[in-house]
Amino acid sequence: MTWNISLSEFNLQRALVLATVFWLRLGLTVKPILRASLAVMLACVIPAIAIAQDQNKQLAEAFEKRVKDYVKVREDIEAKMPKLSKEAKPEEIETHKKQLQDSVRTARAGAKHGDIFTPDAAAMIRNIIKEEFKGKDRVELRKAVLVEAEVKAVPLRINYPYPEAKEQLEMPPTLLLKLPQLPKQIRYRFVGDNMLLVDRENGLIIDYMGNAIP
Amino acid sequence: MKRIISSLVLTFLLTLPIANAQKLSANNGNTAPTPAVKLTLPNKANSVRFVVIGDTGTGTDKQNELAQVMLRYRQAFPFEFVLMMGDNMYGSEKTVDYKTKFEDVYRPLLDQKVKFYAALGNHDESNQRFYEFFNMEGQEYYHFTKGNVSFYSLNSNYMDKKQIDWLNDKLATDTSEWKVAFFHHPPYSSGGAHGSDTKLREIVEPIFTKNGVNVVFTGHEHFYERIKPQKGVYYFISGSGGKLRKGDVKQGSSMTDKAFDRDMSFMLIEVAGDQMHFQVISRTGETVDSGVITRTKK
Repeated sequence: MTWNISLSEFNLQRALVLATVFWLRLGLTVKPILRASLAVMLACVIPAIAIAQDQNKQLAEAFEKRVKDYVKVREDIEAKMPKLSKEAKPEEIETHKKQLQDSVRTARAGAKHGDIFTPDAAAMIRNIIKEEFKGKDRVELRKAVLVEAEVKAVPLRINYPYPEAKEQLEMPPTLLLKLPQLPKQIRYRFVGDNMLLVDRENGLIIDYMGNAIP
Repeated sequence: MKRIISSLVLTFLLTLPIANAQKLSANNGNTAPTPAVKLTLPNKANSVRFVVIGDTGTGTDKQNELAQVMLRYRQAFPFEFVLMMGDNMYGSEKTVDYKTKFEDVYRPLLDQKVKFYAALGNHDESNQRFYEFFNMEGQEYYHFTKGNVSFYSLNSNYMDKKQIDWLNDKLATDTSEWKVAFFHHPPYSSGGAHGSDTKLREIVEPIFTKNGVNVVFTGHEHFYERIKPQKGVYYFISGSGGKLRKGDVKQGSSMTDKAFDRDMSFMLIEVAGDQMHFQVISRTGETVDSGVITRTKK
């Protein structure tokens, strides 16, 4: 018997402790056959939870690798460009951004939707967001992202820039702690019901996934 | 007759630029009389003096008018630097925008070697961190000290684990008498448009209280608000440096000590020993709040 369950590590530990306590208490009052049945159930659940956790870990690692592959491409390109000073003039900033944008776009001309947010990775991330935002938090998230945000008209096109004049929604910090970690050059960003990956320097939309908001 | 008419037209056309120049020099387009500078700060020798402004980047006449008031106050209170709470540029960020939304507005202060230290807002691209006049050292979050005050500029758009760890590590070894954090999104706010950023508060407030951060400046809301001290930390919102949301402060909010949402404003701050004095001045030169925070010694 295999259950496709996804639980955070804390929930797993809590479930194991509760199951153990429950089992010990029950053992004193319940017939042996019932005790045996419970033992079988626990023996199935615990490995299933461990398998699910391991699967999530592998998905996260694969996702992080695909992001790092993008970063490698853009770092190789940026290494050949003049370095941007920490005291740059506006025209230098503008030129650097445009050059990096154009070069990376050319290098990734075949990039398409779902290259990084594969269906498995997107499902995992949707679950993380759903676990993080429950009840009142979920209502507030929906209000902030779907109602109040001024980003509704952002066109979602892979390998095209996020419009410079559009605001960037703040990413909830508690969610950032739970999502797969990204290299410093890449950002998660909500646009409507979508979660994007955006390059913070050239502004390119690297990939996105829909139905991100629970 | 033709000659008379053409002379009159020519004279009219020639005097137009002069009339406009006079209008600009007279309080930058505002023909109201220039209000007197009334300083409530002690103006002590060797104190740390700075200004706090937020949500400036519009390039509008009103942003310019407020900048003129800042300039006038500098003559009486020579502040050394300005903290920017983010939304330093609204809309596009091309070369011309840096000029019209920032450089042209604050040129007189820049010429007097006043330094600007910026934080990033939700309308700011990360690349602003490379801009020479924002003094961000190429970083989205950074630290600097002035006298006995330690300043932490944070990126509240993206408070990830790296930034949290950096902040914790830096604060843990910081021995400055005053610790000040500034960033865009307010953990506490009585604003109707946005309100308190409780998710951000959940992360940063424990760090601030554990490490003795004294004062937090933020923006994002387009008004001024002084929040009642929260777990020993003083919070200010100074987000009307270029935009204003009139009447946005919820009346009767239990967290407000003082608020001003009728006009744009900026803050003058002076840290002298164990006291931080503040004065909040409106676009018309009116003092809308003032006071002093006394640091609790460890």
